[in-house]
Amino acid sequence: MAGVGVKLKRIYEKKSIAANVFGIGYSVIITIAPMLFIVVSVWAMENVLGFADESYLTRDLFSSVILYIFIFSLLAVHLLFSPVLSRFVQDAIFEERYGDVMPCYQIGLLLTLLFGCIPGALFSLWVYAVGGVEAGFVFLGYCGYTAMIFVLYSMVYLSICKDYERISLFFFAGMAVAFLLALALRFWLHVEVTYSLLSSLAVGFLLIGTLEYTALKNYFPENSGQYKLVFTYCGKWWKLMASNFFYVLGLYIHNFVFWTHETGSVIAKSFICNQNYDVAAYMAIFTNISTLIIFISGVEMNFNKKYKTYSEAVIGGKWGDIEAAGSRMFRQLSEELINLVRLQFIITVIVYLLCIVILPQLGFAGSIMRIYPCLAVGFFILFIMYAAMHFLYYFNDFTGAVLTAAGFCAVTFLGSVFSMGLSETWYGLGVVLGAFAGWTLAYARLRWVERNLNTYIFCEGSILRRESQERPDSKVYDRGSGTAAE
Amino acid sequence: MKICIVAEGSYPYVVGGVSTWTHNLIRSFQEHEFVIASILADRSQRGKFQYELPENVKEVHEVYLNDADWKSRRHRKSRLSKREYQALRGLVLNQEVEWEVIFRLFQEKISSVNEVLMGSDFLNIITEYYQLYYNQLVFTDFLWMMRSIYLPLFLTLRMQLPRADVYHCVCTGYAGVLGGIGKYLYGGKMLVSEHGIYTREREEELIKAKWVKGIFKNIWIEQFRKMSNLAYAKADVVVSLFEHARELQIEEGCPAEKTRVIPNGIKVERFENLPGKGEEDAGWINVGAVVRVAPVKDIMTMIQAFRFAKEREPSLRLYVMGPWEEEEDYARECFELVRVMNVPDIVFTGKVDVREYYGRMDMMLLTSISEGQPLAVMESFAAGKPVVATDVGDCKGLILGESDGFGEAGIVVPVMDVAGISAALLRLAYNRSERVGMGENGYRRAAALYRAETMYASYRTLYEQLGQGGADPEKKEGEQAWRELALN
Repeated sequence: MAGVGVKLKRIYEKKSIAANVFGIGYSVIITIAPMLFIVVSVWAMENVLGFADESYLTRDLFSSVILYIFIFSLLAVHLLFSPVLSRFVQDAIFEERYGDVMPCYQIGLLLTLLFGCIPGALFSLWVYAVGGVEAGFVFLGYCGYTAMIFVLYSMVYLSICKDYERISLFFFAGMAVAFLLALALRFWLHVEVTYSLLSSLAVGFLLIGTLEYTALKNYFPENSGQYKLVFTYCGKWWKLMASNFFYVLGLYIHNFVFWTHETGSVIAKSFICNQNYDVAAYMAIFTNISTLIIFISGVEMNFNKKYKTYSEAVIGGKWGDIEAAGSRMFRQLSEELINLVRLQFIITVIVYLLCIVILPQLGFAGSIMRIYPCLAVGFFILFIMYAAMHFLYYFNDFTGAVLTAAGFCAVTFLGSVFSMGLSETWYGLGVVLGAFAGWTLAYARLRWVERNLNTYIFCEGSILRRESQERPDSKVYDRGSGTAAE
Repeated sequence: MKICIVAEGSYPYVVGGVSTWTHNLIRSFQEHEFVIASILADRSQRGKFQYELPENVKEVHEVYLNDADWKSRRHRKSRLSKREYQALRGLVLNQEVEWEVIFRLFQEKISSVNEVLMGSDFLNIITEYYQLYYNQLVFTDFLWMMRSIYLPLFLTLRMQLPRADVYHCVCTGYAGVLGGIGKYLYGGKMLVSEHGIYTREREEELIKAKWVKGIFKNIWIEQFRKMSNLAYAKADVVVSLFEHARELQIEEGCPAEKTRVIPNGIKVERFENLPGKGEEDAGWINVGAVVRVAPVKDIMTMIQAFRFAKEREPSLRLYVMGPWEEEEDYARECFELVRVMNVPDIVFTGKVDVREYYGRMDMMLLTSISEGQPLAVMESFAAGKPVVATDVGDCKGLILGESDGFGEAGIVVPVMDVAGISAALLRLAYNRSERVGMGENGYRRAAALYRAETMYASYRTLYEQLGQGGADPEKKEGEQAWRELALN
């Protein structure tokens, strides 16, 4: 989301109420608009098509399919390859090797599809064979899943191009077409409600993905054919891959743990979920999502400036300038984190109160509202941990990022296993403990980086070409053995 | 006795005065076994010998000033101990250096030069040095320049040196460092023979160099001085070619009691009775220059001076006898200069047997900007030819004599003085009797003072003296030093 803060800064610079409203609107567009378009269109389709009249089992099955499509397509795209591919594309753009972007896109898409579709296909077979779900329904669900991988994967590339408005526009167009198609299928061709819904969603996703791909092709019309280059990045940036893997896994691992809880449900002997816990978790994410916007704006508007000054001092400054710029940069970093905690705390408290007051009136009550508070606290800490981790990336401290993410993931897992035995109020304790552990690690590592910043900056790289062999013997001529180098 | 000749950028890879001297020295001591440790720029020169190695050369070892970071069996990434840190700090900050600690560090502990140069200890030391003396410079530039300055030294310090009884370094600098390591590792004796004064030569080069600017020139010069001081400190005997060079060595920090003068020498009889001028030389006044076509020989000035002389005396003809492949770019510039200035009758012969040419020459020319005690001048004398030479190294002493009573054997001119060189050539060209007289003076001087036999006799005595107190595995100087360190 680099570049967002710069645009926000330009908007807020006008210092008027209208500008503030516009700024908020813009922030919404870039962060949650795509998600909102999908939620609204599914909700609208369900209402217009009479989904509520379907049987309880059918509705549950449909909800589970949609849940799995979103969760596992996100995992398929972001769990392994996306950070390395992003890095590759950013470097290619910076070095003006535009022809290398499409080979990266193609190789990455192939890997992601393989990574996502093979397990997806096996699971679909399971759903059909063991769960006894109709083949057509399973096939449509699988198509929706594959299309969603395509959408999310292409979205990574468009995000690098900072084309957030266009991403939102494509989601709007795709979901609008899906809505109209669902109407046509149901009322014109008299297709069943769930089939109409699933097939139109699959088509809508495919349309979004295709639009994104077309936009990318317009951005990068050339193809250098350098496919091997991408693989070298996987070796070079394995720590980035690892940190991202643990972070993304940590985000979902507590859900997976609670899916196995006695309160969880199994639909069609295949789809495991824990609706109460899952809904509470999404509410907690929603409560704290503004952290990301506040953080990104703050970092790009204030910290980035100090980082740039420091970088300039490193490149062409005296030692005194470097020291001073380094101190200023870390003061700013601390300030950003403190501001983030302060502001997010206020927002979280307000949203939390609203949720507590309003949501029960909308039917969200009981178990969900008992699980929600602890998870809200957990995600509050988790997003602050992400902010600290983001700073570690700034300083290329990938070891620190791996430690943070692995710590977070492991403690969240163990904490969630432990909290399964507690009362509902404490179900979210695993996330709280995991996020806190991750935050502690990230913060300690940041302080370590601060203390060793000069070593970090000036001792990176190599002055000599590295050879994988041992040094050849210095002897090039030996009269005794009659050997000579040439 | 096993003698390790430590050469830097010369034998057996580069044809030239020092290389030829070394080659002849080895050939003259058939009773001793020689190993060569040669310092080269990089691996592209690996094994490309320009000399046929004499029978008594048993091994050749190489070290490169620019090499790769090879995988090491020593995997541990150890930080420097306090003592090692202080030794390295002393080295960088131009303070008293505990060389034994440095030698041990690089020979026994360090697994990668890259690790040291890119490590936090080196960074801290450089930062301290910067803050003390250069805090107005751009730090990053300074840091990388310091890394590039210490890179060749550290690579040299890591060299696997062969065991020998005597380490005979044919210059100080990196060769001197290797000599010091040999002494530390195997307890051998160390002998330094300087043909020029290494520090001064590097200083001259650096002042003119374009690849390094401003204050960094001073730091480089300091670096070379440090290495030379190490060589002077560790050497048992330091030999110079002539008295003034000895004085300079003492001025540079060499203890006077270690110094001695052994002039160069040649086999005079090899240049006697050479074939004289033939039919093709009729009507020509031949000027010969036995030199490599290299910047240090200042061939550009030679061409320009010859051109002026040629305009006044058309019968002049110049033979440049020596290889030009080593400095190909410079050689091309010289050929281009001849073409652009349209100077006729300049012949670049390439590498030839100079004895086929000496007899045909009327005078010899040397326009170097730096020399020690050039063998080419002595050979010219032995062939009975007068020499016009620039006032570098011992050229003045050779040509004018140091109160030896033989008289002038040529003309000494200032460095790069085109008009002066031209005038000297014309003077000898116009004045045949003076030319012949000077040639005779030169012959008498070479025959009396610069005979190879005399030089080899001096070195034989030196080798014997050093050999008597030679390498004793039980009494290694380096090991003793290390034991002292361990006890402390």
